[in-house]
Amino acid sequence: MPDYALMNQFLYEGKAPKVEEMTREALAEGSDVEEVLQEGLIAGMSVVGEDFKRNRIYVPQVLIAARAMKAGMAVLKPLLMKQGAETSTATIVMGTVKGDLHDIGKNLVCMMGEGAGFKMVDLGVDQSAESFLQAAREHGAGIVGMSALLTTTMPYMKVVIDAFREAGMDHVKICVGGAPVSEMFADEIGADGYGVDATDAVDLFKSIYPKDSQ
Amino acid sequence: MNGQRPKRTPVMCQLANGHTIINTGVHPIDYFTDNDLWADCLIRMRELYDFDGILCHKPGRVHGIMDQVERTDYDADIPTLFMDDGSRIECTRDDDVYYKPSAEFVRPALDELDLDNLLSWAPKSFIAFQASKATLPISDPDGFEEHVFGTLDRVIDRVGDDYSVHGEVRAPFDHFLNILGMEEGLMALLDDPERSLKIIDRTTDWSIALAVAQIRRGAEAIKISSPFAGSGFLSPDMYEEFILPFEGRLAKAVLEEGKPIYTHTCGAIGDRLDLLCRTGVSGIECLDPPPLGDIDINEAIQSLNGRIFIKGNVDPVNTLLRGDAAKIKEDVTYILGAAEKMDGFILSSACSVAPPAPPDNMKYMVELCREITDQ
Ligand code: B1M
Repeated sequence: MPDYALMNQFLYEGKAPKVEEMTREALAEGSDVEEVLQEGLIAGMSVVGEDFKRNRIYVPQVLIAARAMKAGMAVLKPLLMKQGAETSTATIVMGTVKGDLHDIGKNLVCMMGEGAGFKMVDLGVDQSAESFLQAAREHGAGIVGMSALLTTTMPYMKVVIDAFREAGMDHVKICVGGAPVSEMFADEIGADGYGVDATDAVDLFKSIYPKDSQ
Repeated sequence: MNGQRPKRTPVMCQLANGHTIINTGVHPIDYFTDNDLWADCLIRMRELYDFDGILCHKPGRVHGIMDQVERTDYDADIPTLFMDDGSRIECTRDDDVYYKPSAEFVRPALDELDLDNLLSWAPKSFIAFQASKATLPISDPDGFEEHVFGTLDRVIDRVGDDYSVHGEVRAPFDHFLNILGMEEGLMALLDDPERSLKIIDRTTDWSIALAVAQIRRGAEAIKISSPFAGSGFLSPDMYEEFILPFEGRLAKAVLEEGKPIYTHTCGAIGDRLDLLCRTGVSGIECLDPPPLGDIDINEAIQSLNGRIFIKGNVDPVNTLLRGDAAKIKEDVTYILGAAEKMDGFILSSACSVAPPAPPDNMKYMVELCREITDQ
C-alpha cells in the first residue's frame, strides 16, 4: 500500500519530482489508478485548499502544490483516459469575462478545480458569451465558471447567463466569482452559485455539479 | 509630507491611464508615445480636479520605440502598434497598454537568467515595453540618457513651482515578477529563495537609480508601485523576506536625497502595516477599505500616527466609481474626521481611480476636502 500520507505531504510542499515518482511507484505496485488519484493527489490538494482558505498558506504555496499535482496527473492521465469510457470526468469551462484581463484568481480556481478531480477547460481572459456557449457545448460541460475583477465587467456575467437561457442550455450551472462579486450580486443576476475564493469555488462545484452528467 | 500638519489637507489621486485618456480625449497611441502630450495630459487632469499635486507615474515615454514599429493601426477599436519582431502593443482607448508577445516568446526559467544581465534573453520589443513601464536595467542614477525623463522634466518645467510633482518607480519585486512572469515568479520564491533574493537585490538597484535620478531632476517625492505585496499574493513572512529589505534599501536611498518616499500596496494589507512601516518609508498609499481591502482608517491611524504619513483611502470603486453624492460625502467626512488626529495626511483615492469614474464624483471629493479642511 503506497504511503499516501507522505505523498500528500510532498504535494503540499510542492515537491513535484517526488509526487511524480510516488505516483509511478504506486502504479507499479499495482494500486488502482482511481485510488492513487483520490488518495494520493486529490486528498493532498484538498488540504492545500483548506489551508489557503484559512490564510495558513498563500498564493505561491498553492501554485507549487498545483504544479506537483500536475506532475502526478501527467502520469495518471493516459491511464485515466483509457478508463474514460467508464468514468467520464466532470467538466467545467472557466474564463474571465469580456473586457476583463485579470487572470490570476481564475487560474487559481482552475488549478484547485483540477486538484479536486474536475476537468477544467480554461478559456482565458476577455471571453464573450458566444465563446462560453461554444465551449460548454463542445466539451459537454456541466458547469461554467466566470471570473470578473472589474465593476465594469461584472454586469457581463448576466449577459452570459441570459445567453445560456436563450440557447436553451439551462442545464448548465453557472458559477461566478472575483473580488468585486458578492453572493448578493450572484443571486441578482441569476447565477447558480458564488465562490468567495478558489477553495470555496471548488466546494461549490462539488455541491452543484449536475449529478446526471458526473 | 514632512509629517507635519499643513494648513489644509492636500488632495491628489493616482489616475488609471484609461481615466486620463477618456477625460482628455487624446489618442491612446499618442498618449503612449509622446512625452509632451502626456505631460500636458497630466497637467490638464490636475487642473480638472484642482489637485494639490501631480503624480508623474513614469518619467517619460520610450525614445525610439516607433523605430521598432512595422505598422500602426491607429483607427482600430484597440489601436495597435505592430512591432517588427512579431509582437504587438495594444493601446486601449479606455484602459492601459498591453504587450502581446510573438508566438516565439518564451520567458527564461529562474536558473537560466543571467544575473549580470537580467534582460539578456528578451526580445527588443519586450525591453522597450518594460522600459515604458519604468523597468530600466540601469543601476547608476547618472547612467540614464536625458530623454528618459521627457515627461517628468516637462511637468516640472511647466508647473513644478506651483504644485508638488511626484515621481514613481516600480518596486524591486514588481520588476522581478515582470521578468519571470507572475506565476513563475511567485513559485521561484519558494523554489530557489536564494537566487530570487539575488535577482531582487539587482532590481532594487534599478529602482534606486531611477528614484534618485528623478529626485535630482526635481521630483518632490517618490511613490513605490508595489501592487503584489499584499495578502492577495504573499504571506507576512514572505513580505519580510522578499519585500521589506529591498523596499527598505530603496526608502533609505531616497530619504538620503532629502525627499519623502511612499509605498502603494493595494488590496488587503491589514496584517502587515507594521512590516510596511519597518521598510522605513515616509508614507503609505492606498489602505483600501473593505470590500477591496481590510482597512478602517480610524484603526490604521491609531497604529500609524507619528510613524508614517497616509495617502488614502477613499474607495475607488464603491465610492468614486459607483457612489452617489451622499456616499462620497459620507466617506470623505468620515476619513477626514479620522485624519484630524493624524500628523501627515493626503486625501486620495485608495487604489487608482478607475477609467470610467465620473469626473463629477472626483470634483465633489476635492470640493468636500476643501470645505471641511479649509476652515
Ligand atoms: C466560480 O468562479 C469563480 C470563483 C471564485 C473566483 C473567481 C471565479 N475568480 C476569482 N475568484 C476568487 O478566487 C481567487 C483566489 O482565491 C480570488 O481571485 P482574485 O483575482 O480576487 O485574487 C487574486 C488571487 C489576487 N488579485 C489579483 O490578481 C488582482 C490584483 C490587482 C493589483 C490588479 C492586477 C494584478 C492587475 N490589474 Co487591476 N488589479 C486590481 C487588483 C488590486 C488588488 N490589490 O486587489 C484591480 C482589480 N484592478 C483594477 C483596475 C481598475 C484595473 N486593473 C487593470 C489591469 C491590471 C493588470 C493587467 C495590471 C493586473 C492583472 C494581471 C493579471 N494577469 O491578472 C486595468 C483593467 C484591465 C482589464 N481590462 O481587465 C485597470 C482598469 C487599470 C487600473 N489598474 O486601474 C481595480 C478594479 C476596480 C473595480 N473593481 O472595478 C483593482 C481593484 C485595483 C484598483 N484600482 O482599485 C477570488 O476573487
